[in-house]
Amino acid sequence: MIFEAKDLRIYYKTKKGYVKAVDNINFSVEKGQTVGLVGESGCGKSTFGQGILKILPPTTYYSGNMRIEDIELVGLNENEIRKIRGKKIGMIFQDPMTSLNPVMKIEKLFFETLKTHEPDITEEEARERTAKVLEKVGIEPKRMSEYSFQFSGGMRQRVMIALALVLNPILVIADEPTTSLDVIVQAQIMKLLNELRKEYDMSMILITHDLGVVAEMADKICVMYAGHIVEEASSENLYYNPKHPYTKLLLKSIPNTDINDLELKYIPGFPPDLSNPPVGCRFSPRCPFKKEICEVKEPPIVEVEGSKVKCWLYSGVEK
Amino acid sequence: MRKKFISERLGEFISDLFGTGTGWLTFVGALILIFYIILAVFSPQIAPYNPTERVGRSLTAPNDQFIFGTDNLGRDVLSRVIYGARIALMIAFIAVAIAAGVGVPLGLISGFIGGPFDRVLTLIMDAIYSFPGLILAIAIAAVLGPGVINIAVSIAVVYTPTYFRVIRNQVASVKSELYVEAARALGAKNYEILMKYIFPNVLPSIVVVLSMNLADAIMTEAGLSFLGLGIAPPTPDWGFDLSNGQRFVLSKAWWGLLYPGIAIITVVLGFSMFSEGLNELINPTIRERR
Amino acid sequence: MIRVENLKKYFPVKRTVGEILLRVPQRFVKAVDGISFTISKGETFGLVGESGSGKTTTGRLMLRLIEPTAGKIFFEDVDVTQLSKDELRKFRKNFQIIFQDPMAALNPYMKVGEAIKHGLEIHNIGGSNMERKKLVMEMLERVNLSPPEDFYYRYPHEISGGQRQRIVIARALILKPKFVVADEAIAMLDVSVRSQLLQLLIDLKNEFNLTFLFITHDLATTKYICNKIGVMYLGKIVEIGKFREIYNEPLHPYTKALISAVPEPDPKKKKKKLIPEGEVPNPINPPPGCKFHPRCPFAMDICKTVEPELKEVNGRLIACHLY
Repeated sequence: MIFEAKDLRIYYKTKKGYVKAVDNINFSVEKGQTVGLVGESGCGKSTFGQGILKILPPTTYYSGNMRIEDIELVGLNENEIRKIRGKKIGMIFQDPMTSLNPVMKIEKLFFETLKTHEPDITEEEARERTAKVLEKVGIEPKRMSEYSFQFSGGMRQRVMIALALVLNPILVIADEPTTSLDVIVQAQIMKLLNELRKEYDMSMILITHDLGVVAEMADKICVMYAGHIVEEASSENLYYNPKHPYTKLLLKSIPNTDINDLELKYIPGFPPDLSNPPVGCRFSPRCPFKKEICEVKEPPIVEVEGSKVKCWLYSGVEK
Repeated sequence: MRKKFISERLGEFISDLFGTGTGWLTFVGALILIFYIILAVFSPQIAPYNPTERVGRSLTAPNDQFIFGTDNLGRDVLSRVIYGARIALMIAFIAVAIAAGVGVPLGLISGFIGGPFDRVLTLIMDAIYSFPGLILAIAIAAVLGPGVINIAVSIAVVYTPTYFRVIRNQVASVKSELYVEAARALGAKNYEILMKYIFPNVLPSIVVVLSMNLADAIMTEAGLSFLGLGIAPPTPDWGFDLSNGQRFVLSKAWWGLLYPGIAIITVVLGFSMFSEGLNELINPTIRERR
Repeated sequence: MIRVENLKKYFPVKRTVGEILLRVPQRFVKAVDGISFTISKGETFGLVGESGSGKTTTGRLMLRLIEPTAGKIFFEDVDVTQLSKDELRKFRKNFQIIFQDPMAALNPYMKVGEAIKHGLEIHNIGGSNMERKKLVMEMLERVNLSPPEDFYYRYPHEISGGQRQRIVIARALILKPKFVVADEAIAMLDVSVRSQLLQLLIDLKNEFNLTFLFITHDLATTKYICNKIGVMYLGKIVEIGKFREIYNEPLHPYTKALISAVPEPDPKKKKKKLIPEGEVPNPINPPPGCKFHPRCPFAMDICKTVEPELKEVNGRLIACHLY
């Protein structure tokens, strides 16, 4: 087990009170595994990703456990977590434009990152390692003397990936890595991520709202809804045999490539306001299969045919 | 949406205000300003003595009768400081009103139209801006002569380019926003686009510059009268009193210098603190992000 | 109903002072380089391509939000490029645009209801303020923002992305336009919200009898709404024809690449992908010959020198030397 979260709660503070963005979830990543984390926006998946690295505002409340290898993350202070960021866990953000400092040359960006973790490193060494990793992501090493704004969107995302990999992290969190990119570049980046993951033998958490994107590379997929993980299954199981009504609806709402299937399906309504989530099953207000109990009591997680589901339809308890 | 009671909204506003450090800053700044505005408006009622008359012995140290002491002509320093708020604020407000009244419309038009008109105007404004403020004000004040309006005008000339530059640059950037293009796609006239889409988006910066400029204007006014180019004596004026007071510091009469000085510093501080917080409070998108 | 003829837009590239002194000739970015197409009444034309292909510029040109360098745009026999500024302003009622980023497309200091109402005021639709307000409320209801009173008085930052896009749609459609450009209208939204909005657009299109120009980089969404598509690459249309035919059997290598890049949710169908290497080249310095040849797996010698013309193949137009 590379990464494990147990009974994890991450609440962040807003004017309206605490938003229960991550509410009592259990989650694990094995060595070399790619885990997809899927859900609509406002379901807490990005908060979870950022919460692992603790890059949320300092007023954020954490409870439960979060372990990377043997290091417990929840109790760490800012100085201690900084040693984990980049070194053990790399992060790839959605928007490479705003997450790369525009006034720093690429080589400087890498040098600074390396220096935080290896204070003795010389510029020469840093440049060598930068060249190596840039080459891996398909960027000519000589471009390291350019600034990030001189790169196109797809190239910038490659730089971000290289920056996340330069310290050889054991886990990489990719938060919507291709959402702002065109289809062809998106496909290129996904292919690259898949190859690098194998080469570096690292684990990955892939956060996205697009099931189509994860299905092609994840070993395991966790579907998140309103701060809960409602279903956890292998990607094949999830696609061919989805259990949770939310997963079923989410799958149907992806535009498929079948030209004769012209019916648009979607989940009516919106995800709930997480500062005041619904009682019982949080999906119940939008669920077509809801029973009486769903609106009263939170469903337990049960194992059905190899998938873990948080839904009363499978718990076998009729009230 | 449910209608909210005024008290409820007030409560939300106050909790908003004190949610952060800048909230406190604004609040303290506002208190200082309110204090000085009250002093200025009610100076005849508040001041214990007539500020221009001899009421005691020259250079009396602060005592029960004259809390802040008296100056070299035996006038009550406290009364002069109180009345001084009147002159300082009046000139500052008039100057800033003139500067904004000229600078804002010019900036709006220049930024919106662009082209040669914009370039020429920018060049003129930059030329004024590149002068050291006080020296320019001195030159103009020397030409115009003393008097409240004249002083206000000479200060206004110094600050007009500030408004122009801030507004022009903002307009030039807001102009390329998508919602301006959207308004154009709707078929809106230029005038409507300027007033309904661009102006509200630059208004916050106007308000912030306004409150910051008030502080600067008070400083400049004090500087002018310190150099003897301000309001003609015996009208009470902080800058003049400061320069008058410093002549007697060597005779250990520190009070003539200290109290007008404190008044200038606190009122400027008040404006700065107020404007600092105002910037965040007034902008709905920044406010939401917290 | 809409006819575009040889439309061009060249953006001049800023020269440095040195270049002007050395008389380096003015260079241009040929964002749109001579494209022609027609859209019949009630039809939806999909314009597909990556960023940098010129599809967004085309959308803006058609509404004359930017002035074309050359070419004509006919809207029911009116040449839009010839209208005077004043005529154009009044004419704008007929064609509207839905932008990609609804947050940027709404004035942050204007209540969303007022934003929709402003269009009515400009074109003097609905006599009184009360009447206009009523029309806005009806429109809000129509785009499924109900109860409308809940939304009318909110500011854009107070509602979600999907709701904001509904506001932008309402603002465009309240003028009862005949032609609507949807510029990546659903690209920034979540998958499920995307489908909701796409359904809304389809419903509204039928209800208002709209003609659509649907600009997108995602071919998967075009199948629900488009009758016809044009694939753009570096300012030129490389393939244009009936949607079904192109989708079933793409001929141009670039179209093939676009279709095979669509993410596939079925993990067993890990298709063999035809993903071209590299990215769209710099439009200031486009490659000679066929602009796609550096990325094309089927490039021949002729592609490097001669630019292919659009020609008819199997009932559609293709610009490729393979055919």
